[in-house]
Amino acid sequence: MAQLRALARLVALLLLVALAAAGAAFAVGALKISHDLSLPGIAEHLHLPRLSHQTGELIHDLEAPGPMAIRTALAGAAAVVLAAALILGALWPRRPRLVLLEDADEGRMAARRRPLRRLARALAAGAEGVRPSGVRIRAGRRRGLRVRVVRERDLTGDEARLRAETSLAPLTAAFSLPASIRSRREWRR
Amino acid sequence: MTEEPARDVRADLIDLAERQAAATPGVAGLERSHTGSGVACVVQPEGGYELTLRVVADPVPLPALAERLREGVLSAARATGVDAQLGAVVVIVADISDAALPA
Repeated sequence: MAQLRALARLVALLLLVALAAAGAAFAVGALKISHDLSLPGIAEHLHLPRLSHQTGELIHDLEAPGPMAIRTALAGAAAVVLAAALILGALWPRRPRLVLLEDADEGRMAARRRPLRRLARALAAGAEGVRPSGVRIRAGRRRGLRVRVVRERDLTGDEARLRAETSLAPLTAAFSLPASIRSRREWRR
Repeated sequence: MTEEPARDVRADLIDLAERQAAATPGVAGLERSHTGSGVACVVQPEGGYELTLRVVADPVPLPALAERLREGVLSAARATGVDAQLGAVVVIVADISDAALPA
């Protein structure tokens, strides 16, 4: 989605530049400074009369069945898909970058997901017999932690979860962050 | 009649916030980026200025760190005489210092 968003921004920028250039050309042409710098002169420079003739021929070719019509239909379908992807990239809501931790009258505290993930991983690594294998942080209304740990073979799932929960308490209890902990047994040959 | 020069309250608040961040234990530094120094100061709709500090924190208890920063900023604002203009203090943990945390 980030790539689509970047592509949508780039295309929007290029279209705006083209629009600005066209607007500037129209404005200069409207001044009628000379024949070259008038609207008919600019149309001649841009070969618009010839273009009109050529597009007339193209449209005539398109009306007839054949490979040209198929190619054009495919290009049209691709353009529709690309446009839909660009609209999606531009309008798709961004994931909230900050996790709100405290909201009081005197101020707020928030953190980016990355430092919270690193803190949670470091805290979970402190629990005896368990080792964090993945930490995900959710921001927004469904904020919280999702932690996956690998437990030693002699630990039960409940014991491992309890140890990880206790270890994560400085983060979860301090900010009322809900944590979902899943454990799997260590694999040994 | 001499006119007292207008004080730039925003500049004062940003300056004291930067100094407090540097002096607060547990703060490894302010996040420096192309958008600014790590401190933002904006006018609140209800009056006063909201200060936002984007800090790189050491791995310490974060609630206490935020409290220390707020207290420090407030007492520095009192000492400078701009506490009446100080509104909310927002602390954003932008990163955790690499020094004491495993990668």
